[in-house]
Amino acid sequence: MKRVAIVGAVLLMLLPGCATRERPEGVVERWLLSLNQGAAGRPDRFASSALSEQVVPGWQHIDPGHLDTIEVGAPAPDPGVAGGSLVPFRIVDVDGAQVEGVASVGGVASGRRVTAITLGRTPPGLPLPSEGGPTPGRISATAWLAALGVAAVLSLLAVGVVVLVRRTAARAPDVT
Amino acid sequence: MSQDVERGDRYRRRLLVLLSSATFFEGYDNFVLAFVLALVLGDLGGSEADAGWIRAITSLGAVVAFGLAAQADRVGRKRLLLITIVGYTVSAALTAVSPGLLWLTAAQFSAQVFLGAEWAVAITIVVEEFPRTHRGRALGIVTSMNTLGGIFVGVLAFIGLQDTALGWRAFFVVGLVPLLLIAWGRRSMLETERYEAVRSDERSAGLDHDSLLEPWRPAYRSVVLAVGLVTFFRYFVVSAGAFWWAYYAQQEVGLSVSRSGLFLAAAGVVGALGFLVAGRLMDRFGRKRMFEVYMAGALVFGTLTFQVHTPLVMLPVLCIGIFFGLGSVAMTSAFATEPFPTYVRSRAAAWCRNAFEIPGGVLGALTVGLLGDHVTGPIGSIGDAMALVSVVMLPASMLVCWLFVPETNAEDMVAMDEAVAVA
Repeated sequence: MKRVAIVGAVLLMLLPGCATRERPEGVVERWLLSLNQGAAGRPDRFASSALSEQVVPGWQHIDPGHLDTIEVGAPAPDPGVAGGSLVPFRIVDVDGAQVEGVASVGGVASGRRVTAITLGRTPPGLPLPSEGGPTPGRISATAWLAALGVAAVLSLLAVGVVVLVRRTAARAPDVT
Repeated sequence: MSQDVERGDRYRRRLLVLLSSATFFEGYDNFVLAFVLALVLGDLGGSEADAGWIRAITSLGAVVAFGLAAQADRVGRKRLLLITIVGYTVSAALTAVSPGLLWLTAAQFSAQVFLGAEWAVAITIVVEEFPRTHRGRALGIVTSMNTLGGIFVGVLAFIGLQDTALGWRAFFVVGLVPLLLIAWGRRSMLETERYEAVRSDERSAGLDHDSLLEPWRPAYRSVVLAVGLVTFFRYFVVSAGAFWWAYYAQQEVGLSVSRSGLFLAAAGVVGALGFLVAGRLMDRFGRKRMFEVYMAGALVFGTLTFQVHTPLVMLPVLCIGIFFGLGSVAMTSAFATEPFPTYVRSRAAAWCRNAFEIPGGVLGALTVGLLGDHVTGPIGSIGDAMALVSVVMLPASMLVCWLFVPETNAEDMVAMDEAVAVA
């Protein structure tokens, strides 16, 4: 019973780590990736056809893999939309033509869709990773420490299991 | 006498070529799906989480391969190697004509069944056919081909194979090449000397050559478990890194497909040196000591690889990370085969490889995919998820190895078989 309680406590501690969330930068990335597949990618799941047309003109008729580079930066809150976000992005097609801009992603209530875009160089406050800006994810000091703690627990568990098996093997008769 | 002549240095060199070709395509297939992942998902539809599931399911094929690999103790090493090469080739052809993700997953699952068995039997053949003084070096060469297979994917991407009419499918058409090995291997390859000796030794008739559970008898149990855990933790990280690096570079760093292919090819060349250097060093300084050195290097540079976002810095860090991370398989291959006598070696290797290492790879890629999914993942970045997973898993691999895995640098296979037969 005690063991079950310990396992249960560990699982409860791990549960928050399994929590999911909706990331606006992921929505923009999925939109651009789907645009890269032309009509088959169904970019309408993420933005209107008009917005898609602004970023990749004639996207319904392009060959898959038309975009050579797709880059999305870390989001910032959109001051004009409650719960909305601004996400910088950059695409480069196989001919070297580049498009940069900022996508506005609506809040959860709007289904997390791209609602508007502003084309042109990304503003100084929203630099792309390739321009020295932050990447969408960054590990906090707490996360590093937690990882080290889990590493210690895992190592001890592994050692414990091998020691246990060694002891039982030493007591068992070795017959083929 | 003729057998002795046939098994001289010249034969071993030819054998090395055949085995290296087999492990080359094992590496090729492991890298190719990861490399064209974005194209496959775009063409057939799917998300990062779907990709994690595809990787998990297809990798389970290598777990199923356990049953096939273990047959090498029963049907012989040579016959099983040739069967696995044919099976892989057919699976590659089926992958190339996939109409959807389900078909692709099934075909790649089948490919992994044959590749998983092929790897185990190839390593067993090396350990049994090469003298003690050259065993580590031969293991280094054969396992290094795995990385060269990965490099070949990068080279093909760099020269634009994905831009041909076949698109990503062309990469799997290349997987038909191993069929040529069959024509050559059938004629020139012999059954291993140790296997033949043990099978013809009347004293070994009392040993269990068939039971899959034989490696778990008390004499071998704790070693199988310790080596299994070491390979599980190591491959959890290495497999996830190999699978996700291209995606990370393309989607989170902003490298183009062709440039990331160039990076992978360059890093793979340095990484292949890691195997060769490991092979020589482990013959000289011992398997365990070198494993600890390689794992420490993998921990530092593997973690850095997924935290660096400047392409020029990423390339050298990636090279060193691959050198240590992938190169360490030369040592784990020795751990999984050398401590065990010939009559049970393939089954022990199959347990370590297919029941521990491969599941580690399955869970590693899946865990990173779920944690790092850009829309729904709790970490939200493949690079960050990969770095944290490295910090969690690799220390456990190092500790278990140091405490429980036997040093087999000076292990005499003949004496070991004699001792078991007499007992």
